[in-house]
Amino acid sequence: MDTKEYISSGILESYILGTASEQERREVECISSIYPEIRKELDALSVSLEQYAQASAVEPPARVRDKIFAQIDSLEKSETKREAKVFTMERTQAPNRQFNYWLAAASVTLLIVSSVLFYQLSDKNSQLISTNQQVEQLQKEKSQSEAALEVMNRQMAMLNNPDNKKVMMKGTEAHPGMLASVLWNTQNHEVYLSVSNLPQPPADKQYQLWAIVDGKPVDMGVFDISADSSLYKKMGATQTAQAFAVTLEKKGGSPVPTLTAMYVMGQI
Amino acid sequence: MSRKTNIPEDELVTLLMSRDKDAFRILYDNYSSTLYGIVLKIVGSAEVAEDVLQESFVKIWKNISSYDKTKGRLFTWLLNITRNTAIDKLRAKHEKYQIQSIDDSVYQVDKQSSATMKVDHIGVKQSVQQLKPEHRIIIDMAYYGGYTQEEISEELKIPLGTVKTRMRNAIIELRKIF
Repeated sequence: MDTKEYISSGILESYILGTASEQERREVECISSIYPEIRKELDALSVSLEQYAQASAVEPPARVRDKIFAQIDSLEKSETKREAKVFTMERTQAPNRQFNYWLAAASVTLLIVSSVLFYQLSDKNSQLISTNQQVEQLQKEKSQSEAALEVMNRQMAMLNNPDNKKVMMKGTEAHPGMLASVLWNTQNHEVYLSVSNLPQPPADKQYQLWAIVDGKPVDMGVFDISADSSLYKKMGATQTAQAFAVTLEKKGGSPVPTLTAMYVMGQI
Repeated sequence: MSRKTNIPEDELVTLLMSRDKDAFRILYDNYSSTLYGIVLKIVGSAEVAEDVLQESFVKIWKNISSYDKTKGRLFTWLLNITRNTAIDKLRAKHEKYQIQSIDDSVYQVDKQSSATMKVDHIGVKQSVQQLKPEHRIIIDMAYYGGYTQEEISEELKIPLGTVKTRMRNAIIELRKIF
């Protein structure tokens, strides 16, 4: 902001003389609190007007001073009086027996009524709690469905991507009926695996995916069988491949595939 | 004769905020004559001016906690309270504050007060006479009379633009004097 331009705009004079509009006043107060040079200018203007006012100063009569301080003193006194006011507790007359009887009857009635109300309230409360639980459950289900839909959408996008080459891997002689597939992206070379049918392996073993590149097997990673194995999941990457295969290996995988334990394979 | 006490404004304000009555006495002694002079100019009568001054200082005492030093100098705040009290008084009496009477009253008050005028003000007073009358009237109307620029333009029958220019030139002139 150009403070010089602001200073010479005349708005400060208008402010000091009290002719500025409400909006202008707020603006000057805000801007002068941000820019010290504007505040300085504002104070300098105020000082010259103060001196101008002093030039026509007139000593008021001494009685005005006395009256002001007398009024302020009495104001203060009335304030302290209000603060010091003490409320005394007065002993009331002892109530008669008949009044006590009615008081007891009223208390019992009140107790009964409040018990009923309490029961009703706690009943409503438990209804409210179970409704809240239902709402929570529904919300949980809804977010789960949304998440599942999101996953499916991503799978669809992968399948529809023209850069992804789909390779079906069918069961070998020893394991007929087994089925899995690979999506291989020919641009970024990433490999995705989906398992349609493979048996759950023993606890000490894991399946391993291989890419066959120029006749040599290249490790594409190990995987487990789970409920969502049919979804394409990212494995390794390879620039070229002629085939893909899955073998069953010891847990953690093997540097070379055990060809006798090959379950599925597919050529590109 | 002068009871004025030299105290930094910040210190005085801090004491006033804690409702220190001695500080309030200093405030009165330092500012009452300047404010009284202004009230006299606005209301034109010493009797009314005394009431206005009393009312204003009681308001100042009651509202001192609402003074915000980041928004301006203490005197500007004191003047606003006093000026508004004086103008309210005039309105309550259904007396229209006439500009013609401002200039008259300025000189009347000057004559009346010449006996009580402080020595240290004489030099200042003479320098105020250097101010061009057309500048002085605009400062008086706005600063003392609470006139808006539009009202000044109407009263003096001069264009609003001229009021603005004169107002700015008046302050420039004033700063040269002081």
